[in-house]
Amino acid sequence: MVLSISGIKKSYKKVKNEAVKAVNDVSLEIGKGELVAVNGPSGCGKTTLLLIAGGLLYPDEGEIILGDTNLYDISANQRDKKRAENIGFVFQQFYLVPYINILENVLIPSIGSNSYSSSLEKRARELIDQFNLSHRIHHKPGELSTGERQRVALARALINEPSILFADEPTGNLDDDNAEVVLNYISGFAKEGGAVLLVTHDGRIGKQAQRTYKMKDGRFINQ
Amino acid sequence: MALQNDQSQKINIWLIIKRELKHKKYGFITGVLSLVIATAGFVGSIVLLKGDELATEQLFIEKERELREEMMQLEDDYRVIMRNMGYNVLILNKEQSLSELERNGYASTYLDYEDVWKIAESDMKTLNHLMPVLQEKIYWEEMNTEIFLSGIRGQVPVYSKPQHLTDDDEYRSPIMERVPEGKADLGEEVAVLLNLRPGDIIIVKGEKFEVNRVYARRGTRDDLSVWVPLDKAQSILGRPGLINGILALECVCATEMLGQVKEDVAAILPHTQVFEFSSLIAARADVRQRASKLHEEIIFAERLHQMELRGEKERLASLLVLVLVFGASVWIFVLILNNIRERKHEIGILRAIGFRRHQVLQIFLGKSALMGIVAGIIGSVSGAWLGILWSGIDPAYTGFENLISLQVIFLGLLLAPVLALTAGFLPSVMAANQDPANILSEQ
Ligand SMILES: Nc1ncnc2c1ncn2[C@@H]1O[C@H](COP(=O)(O)OP(=O)(O)OP(=O)(O)O)[C@@H](O)[C@H]1O
Ligand SMILES: [Mg+2]
Repeated sequence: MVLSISGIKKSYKKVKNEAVKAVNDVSLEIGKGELVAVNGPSGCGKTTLLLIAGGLLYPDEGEIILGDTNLYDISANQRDKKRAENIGFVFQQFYLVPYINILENVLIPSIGSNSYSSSLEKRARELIDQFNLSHRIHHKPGELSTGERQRVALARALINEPSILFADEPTGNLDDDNAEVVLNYISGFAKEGGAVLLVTHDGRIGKQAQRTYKMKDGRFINQ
Repeated sequence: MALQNDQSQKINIWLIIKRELKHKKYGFITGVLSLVIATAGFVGSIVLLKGDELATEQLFIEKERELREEMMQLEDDYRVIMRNMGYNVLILNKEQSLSELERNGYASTYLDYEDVWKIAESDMKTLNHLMPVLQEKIYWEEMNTEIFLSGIRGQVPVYSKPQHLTDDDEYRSPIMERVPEGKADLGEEVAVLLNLRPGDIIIVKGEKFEVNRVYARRGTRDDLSVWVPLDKAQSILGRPGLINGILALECVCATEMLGQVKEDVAAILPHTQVFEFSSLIAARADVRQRASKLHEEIIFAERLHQMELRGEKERLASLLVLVLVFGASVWIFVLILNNIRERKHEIGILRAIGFRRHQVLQIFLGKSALMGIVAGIIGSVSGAWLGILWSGIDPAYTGFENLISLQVIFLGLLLAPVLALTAGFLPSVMAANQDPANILSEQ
């Protein structure tokens, strides 16, 4: 098992001290080569779940086992390291660094994981080539189309050969054609032995997934 | 083009800082500028103050020299006045009774004329204006009156005091001039009593003289004196080769050590005694001391004034520097804070993909440090340059090292980075501590 989530609960304190139960007792397992989709309306807790699973947000309850590590049993620094080495993220907003070029954007995780090498750069070029971005390699993100930007973000997520990829609404800003391309790359990663947790409110996206969970008010309703 | 593009740089924190600086030049430039102003203000005001100090010191030295010249002139004037009060040392034969001298008005014991030359040719420095005299009271048969007949030959030059020394302008205006050959000078009483004028012919004990001049009344027995050349007096009085006193003027320089002159003379002429007119000597010393005290007081007052002025300037400069430093700190603080707000999502994603807190801190502190280093260099150089320019001092003349010390350069280079790091520290820590989850869940 690549990722094993069990009994996750998370609530946010709202203004009038009224707690919002964003995630309410969610369990989930993802194995090698699996693409798991979580589907649900806006505000149902998808991003919260993904941040918790990705080691970015402490859950109130439950545990997350990544490989053989309990993610919230280790120090924050170790968690940072784990993220750098084993996890890839893709977001709806891409979050590319605007002042460095595409190659550098793809390579930037190597600073966090301290893994820069010429072979890593070679891998970056291969990814860029594979994602059909070679002609853009020295351009800045601002000069790219949204589809291209998301492909760059995906390449960045995959550069360190993570064991799992977390994708939050990766096609939310894309037209159908580009969405298709990006989703194909993501499922491609799974087919090559990776694991993917993809969250989206778009019901049409489930088709490449091995399993799809329906989420509502912080719970999976089809489990 | 493609080849050049393929030249990629190893990616690291510094590359990130460099690229971001290039991307957001404006913030960097204004940050550097504010630090440059603070640094230049600091270095510039120190250089300016130093230049000012050197300039006033220069002025002061000139002023002091002027004052000293004036004072020397004053002392000189005093000295001439004092000198004109007459000789203050009398060298007599050791056997001479002073009470007898007092009673008769002249000495009855004698010295060799050669004695005066022994002093003159020695290297003693305490006496000036040696004046050998042969003086006796005689009955002037031709005029039927008593006079003091004084034989003088003018002053004997003192060899240890070269003519060009200041003390020696006395040679040009001796206290008592020599009496020319065949002539006689008269005291006022004698002239009035006998109704004599310059040009009249007188006969003293068979010797014929033409009246050379009549001295103004002195109120001493000089008024009853007739001066003739020494050799004439020696023959009239039957004392060839003899004198009965040497008048002298004790040097100004020696007045501090009264008594020294006695030792000096005794060493050369053991058969003599030295009689000092001590009130005159004391008066000279007093006048001299007063002049130099006044001199010191004026200089001191001037120094005090300059110190007060400098203190005021220093206070003003440090206030200005403080304001500049504070302003620059606030500006850097705001700048970094603003930069962090703009780069919030960047920080969030960097943290999400594994950047450590210290790496985020490094990005912002590195930027601050870079600003500081650049500003330190520009600020120190421009500050020094402006300081020199404004002080109006020519560094080629005073020397750079006197205007700008190594410490000031060092402090100037250090000030901006320290300022930038201090002001940028808190915002940078805030950036590093931002929760990536908060940022990334905002959609
Ligand atoms: N930082 C936060 N503080 C307080 N409440 C939050 C916070 N983040 C999310 N929430 C609330 O938690 C609930 C779940 O939010 P979450 O972002 O996980 O939903 P989502 O399924 O990702 O929605 P969307 O599809 O719109 O992205 C929402 O009601 C949201 O308002
Ligand atoms: Mg969401």
